[in-house]
Amino acid sequence: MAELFTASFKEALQCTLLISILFFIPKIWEQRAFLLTGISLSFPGFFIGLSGYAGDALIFARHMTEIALLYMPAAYVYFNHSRQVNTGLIKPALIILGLLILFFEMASLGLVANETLSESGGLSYLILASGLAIGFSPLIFCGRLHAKAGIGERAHAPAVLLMAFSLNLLFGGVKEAGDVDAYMSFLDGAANLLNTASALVQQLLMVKSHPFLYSPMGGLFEFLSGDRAAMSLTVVVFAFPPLYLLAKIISRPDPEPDTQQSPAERRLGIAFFRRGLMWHAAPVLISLFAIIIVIHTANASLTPMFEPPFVPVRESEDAPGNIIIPLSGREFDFSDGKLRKFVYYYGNRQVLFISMLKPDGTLGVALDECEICKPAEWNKAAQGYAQRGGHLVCKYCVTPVAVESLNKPGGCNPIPVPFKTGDGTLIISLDDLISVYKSAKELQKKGTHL
Amino acid sequence: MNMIKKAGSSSLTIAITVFYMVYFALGGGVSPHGLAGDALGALLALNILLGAFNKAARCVSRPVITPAGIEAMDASTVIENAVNPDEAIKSIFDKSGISQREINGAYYGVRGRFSFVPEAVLRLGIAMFLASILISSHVRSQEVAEMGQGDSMDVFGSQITLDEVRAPLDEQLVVTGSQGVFTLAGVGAVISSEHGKIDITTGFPKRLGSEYFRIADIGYKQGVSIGNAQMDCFLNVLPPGKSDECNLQSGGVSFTLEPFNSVKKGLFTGKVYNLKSPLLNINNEIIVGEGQSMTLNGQVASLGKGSVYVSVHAVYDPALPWAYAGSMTALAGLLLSIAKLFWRMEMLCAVASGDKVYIGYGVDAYRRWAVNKFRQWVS
Repeated sequence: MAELFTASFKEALQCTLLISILFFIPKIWEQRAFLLTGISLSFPGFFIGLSGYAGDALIFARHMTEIALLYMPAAYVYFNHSRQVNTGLIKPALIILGLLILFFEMASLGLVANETLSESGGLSYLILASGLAIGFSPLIFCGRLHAKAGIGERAHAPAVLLMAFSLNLLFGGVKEAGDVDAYMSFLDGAANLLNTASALVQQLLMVKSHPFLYSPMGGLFEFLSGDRAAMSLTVVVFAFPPLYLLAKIISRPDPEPDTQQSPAERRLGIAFFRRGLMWHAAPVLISLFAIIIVIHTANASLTPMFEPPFVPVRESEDAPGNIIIPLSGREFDFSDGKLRKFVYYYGNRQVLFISMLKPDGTLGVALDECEICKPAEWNKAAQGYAQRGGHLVCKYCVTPVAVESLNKPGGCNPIPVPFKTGDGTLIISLDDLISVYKSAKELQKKGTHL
Repeated sequence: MNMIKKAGSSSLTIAITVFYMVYFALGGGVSPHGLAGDALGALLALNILLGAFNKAARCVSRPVITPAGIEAMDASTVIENAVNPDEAIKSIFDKSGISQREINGAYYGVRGRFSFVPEAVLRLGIAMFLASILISSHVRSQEVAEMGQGDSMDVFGSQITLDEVRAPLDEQLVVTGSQGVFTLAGVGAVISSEHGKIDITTGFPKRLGSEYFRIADIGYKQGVSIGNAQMDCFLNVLPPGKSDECNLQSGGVSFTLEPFNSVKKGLFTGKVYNLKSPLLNINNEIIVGEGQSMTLNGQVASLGKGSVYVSVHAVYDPALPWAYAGSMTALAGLLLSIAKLFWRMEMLCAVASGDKVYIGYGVDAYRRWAVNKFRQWVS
């Protein structure tokens, strides 16, 4: 029940945010037709979701709409400037298209409601309605607030629309329905497109890549058909509209000076114009910020942190005073280049250390703690390192550390532990390990960051 | 009709590109062979070219200067009651540093007239590349022939002979860990036909007659004799670990390269392969080398002399040079485009009408700063 209330409240609040931002557009508040369109689109959306229809077509349509909406403000500015297309009808069409997002948001809510209502009785309708009512309630004050602040007078319609759509991308999306959002969907499509296009060009130029034979421009085509190029293309596609709009706003020339005006009046006019540019640019900067967060979140989710569990180790019976760890065995094989974590019980204390095979083929061993970052007792889970791609990452400050620098002291590097290798094993002297551990504890006593 | 008016415009280019991409996506990523795909591709190439011509014509041709035209420029101003209009115009041209020309009583000057060149080169390259894709999809025919040294084959009606194979294979290749990296550089071959002799590699294709040739793959050509019968197996077993099948009299037999030794390499143990004279593992049961015999399904079989074969990729495609020329031209255009950061076209126009002087200024980049500069000239 609580889930239904939270979901309905969240969706209604998202719609409220979207509508309230659209109010910033000059005269939209007076043109009730836009509002009526939005409201009339919301109902069918909700009922389609409620009917349990969560097909791929709905998700596809939503993703296409989101990307189209991201581009339409930039397209409007471009065509308006180049006078290639009559933009008279574009603006209202843009706003109506924007209101389509309400349709999709309400469809998502309908889906959540469908899942919950099928399990519980009539009370849930009341909970759903109350969530919606509270979520939409800020709209009552919205119009009055906008009129009072007079923000709508200064706003730049495409910039405001862009802000609305990018915030919707940040807060909304289709994750409620357990699906991927527009960014991830586009990333998949870009990877497919680049892969196919690269193969086609290689085939055309007769320079098809080979797994081990040299092929001309092989590195270029490998890059173009790889994940990094797809990610770069997606970042460019998503970041282009706000950057373009920002460039267009900033590059507007100062108003033409009126020969009848005094120099002071002219300067005042220019100052007023430049303040206006800031008002126009602010929503674009907000949308750029929102898109950067969307991109960063999505990219971080693509390279998740790898943190293996601690493997307990003890003093070797064959070589007293040493810990001996086989480099390859049933449990793990260091040659895979993955981070390994070990724990040695020293009395009632735990000595945590990490080890990893570096790209140069040598091993690195270090304590699972940083010289600089000392999380407080309540934040102990943030101590140590995890692996993300080809880097170690300090879990406390999220600083990436090059794996090659493992075993080198300083900075955010883990505290190195001396070790030897021999006969396919890693040998760590207990005296060395305890001594390094004790020195680290001494250092820790000097203070913590939190 | 409206579309014809917009020919060469960027909005039409964007529209056709979107249609072309949708067609490309719906076609499952295959080369656009269909009539609609060809039409869209040709239209796109044509429109891109036309855009370049339009821009070049705009930059190079003499403008028609009228008061209305001047007012439609990026920035314009009118000097009322000018005592000496010609003097006023000359003074503004002098301030701007743009050389003044006269045309039918009006004045104009252009700086950076040829700044359209990088874009035109880029557009030309893209159009050539697109056109070569379209032509190639219809006229290209290709063959792949597996050939050992001395082998001859009929390729597109010509007898091609492989005179020489160069493959710098290691006698001691050490493979450590589960993810060894195996690369082979310097593979080449000499082929000859009635048209002459060429040296082909795994690099760019080379022309012999009207066809292009390139090495696409490499493997072992292994002679096997069973009883009185002798046959050649083309074994695609590189890199070590890969297996390939060969159909012998007794049925399909699996071949894999076998290490002849193991060594300690750093922390790990590695397998050592002799790629020049390899040991072969047959059906994961028998390990034999060149000249050795074995019993295979009750029959005595022996391995004859082994050598290296190459897969020769032969292509007949008159559009291939155009594809290269197009991609190189586009790349050159892309590099030249860096110049656009500081190379832009500026046009200053002026015309006197009675005691009024109309002055206009147009620029294709950095508009804000350029217009502010223009206002300083006319202030």
